[in-house]
Amino acid sequence: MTDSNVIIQTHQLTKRYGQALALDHVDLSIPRGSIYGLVGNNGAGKTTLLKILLGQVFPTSGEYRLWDAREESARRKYRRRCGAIIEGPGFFPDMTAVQNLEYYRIQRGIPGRERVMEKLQEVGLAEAARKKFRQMSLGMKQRLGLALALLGEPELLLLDEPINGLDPAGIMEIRALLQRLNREKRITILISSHILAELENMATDYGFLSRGRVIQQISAKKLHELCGIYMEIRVTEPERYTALLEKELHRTDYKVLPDGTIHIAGLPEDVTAYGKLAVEQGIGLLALERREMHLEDYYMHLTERNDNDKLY
Amino acid sequence: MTNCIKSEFYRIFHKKSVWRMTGACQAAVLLVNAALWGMNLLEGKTGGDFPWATTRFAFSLLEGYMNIPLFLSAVMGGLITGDELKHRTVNNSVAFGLSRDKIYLSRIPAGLAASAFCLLVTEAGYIGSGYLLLEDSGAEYTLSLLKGTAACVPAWIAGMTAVMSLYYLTGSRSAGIWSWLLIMVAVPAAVGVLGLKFAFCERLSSWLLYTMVSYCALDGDRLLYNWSTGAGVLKCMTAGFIGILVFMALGIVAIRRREL
Repeated sequence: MTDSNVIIQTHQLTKRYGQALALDHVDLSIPRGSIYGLVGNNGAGKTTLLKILLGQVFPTSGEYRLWDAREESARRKYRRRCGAIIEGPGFFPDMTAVQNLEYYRIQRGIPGRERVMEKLQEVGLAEAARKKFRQMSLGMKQRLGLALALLGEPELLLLDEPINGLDPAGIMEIRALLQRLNREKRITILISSHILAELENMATDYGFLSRGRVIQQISAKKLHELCGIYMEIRVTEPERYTALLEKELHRTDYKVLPDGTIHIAGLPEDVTAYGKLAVEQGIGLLALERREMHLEDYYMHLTERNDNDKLY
Repeated sequence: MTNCIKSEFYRIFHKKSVWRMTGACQAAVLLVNAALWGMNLLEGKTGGDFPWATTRFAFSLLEGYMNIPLFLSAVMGGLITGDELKHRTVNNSVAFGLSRDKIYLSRIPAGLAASAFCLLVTEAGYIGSGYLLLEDSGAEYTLSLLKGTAACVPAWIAGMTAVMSLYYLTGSRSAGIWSWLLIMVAVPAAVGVLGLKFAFCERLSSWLLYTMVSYCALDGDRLLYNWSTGAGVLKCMTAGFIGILVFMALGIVAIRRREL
């Protein structure tokens, strides 16, 4: 990936709060034009990472760039092209939705007062335009946060759990909006969530964070290849069987686990051929099953492996 | 920077708190003059004499309590910052690429405008109602009050700047106000007490803002304040401007270091 295709890049980014390590040498690349799902449990370091990128928190060590800017003064200029919601939307409680957005519109020098109403309409909040922020429901507050993030026609959106507090219809609506913005306006979206399923069918790339470490960066395409339906085969001689798989059935897309269990992606039409192959060659067939790996299972598996690595 | 200042003006004058505070100050000063007028009326009905229903007494009363606007400046500073760390509104500004220095500095002109508005309305109400309800003792008392106000304005601005700086330094409104009370009131009081024993503390005390705006001495039947002389006015203004610069620098350092 060339540098111009990467909109955010971090190198060994580390953040300590006293003794606690919030980010641990994070290396991350966010491709331009992607919807990048940053997935991690609570406390994994997602918010800290986003706050660093937005200049709200200072890294202890390491560096990062936004577009091509590595210096803080240059990064600040690029942040004008960003929209963000971090740790829930922050607004003046005694001001209405319109007044809050108008305040930021003036502050950022965005021309046209009509922009405020346009954005409220875009996020489905036009009817609550005159409502005070403190009187709004959590879902309304999230929508207002999104309206603010979109106010300056951003090229990059950094959204920290933006669908928290939304009802199922609201989630679908916001998802569709983000996808449309990405598709039509080529806005890069970095979106964090602790629920992988929330990002399914939306993210084009994923970064998995656990205990402050990036444990994997993967494209959605690759992730879906690794997940989904697969066939699990257990035989008495896995090495011989896999050699036969390649020779006789021309399958190379298998994976052998440390205990000898073989996983083959997808569910072939001629399942019986796989059993027959073992039996005909005198290899003991112990099990042949259809299995399904969900994205959540995949993530759990990854984090468990990371936790174990840290323990031993 | 201009946009930042404009947005602060928009916010402050769209919030009810500035209007409420101005209204409360106005009501308080009107009440003072109305009370003096009322008591004079009562005394007159019973044949007694009430010598305080004059503009001399009323205006000297406010002039003798120039530390009250100093406290109000702290309240105004609190209104300007609007608890933005708690509500995370300042986070948005930083996230959208505004420099922290600009964020802090833009609060000051807006705060100044709100304070000036509050002060002008209050003082105009006080002087106006004084002339309307009380016996006119002559223009010299009005001029003295206006001179005192002008001399204390830098100190009040410094007080407002201080509370804003201490808010960013401590990270909470209550801690900011307590620190303000400590620095602006308790320390000058302590230095003033030490000044009774040590000459250095006495000299230092005369330059501290709270002592400066509170100082009052009796000279025959006249009250003397720091701003009663030309040199005193200059000293008040110099101390006020030094205070503004010191607290502004503190505020910039505080906001630059604050993690949001």
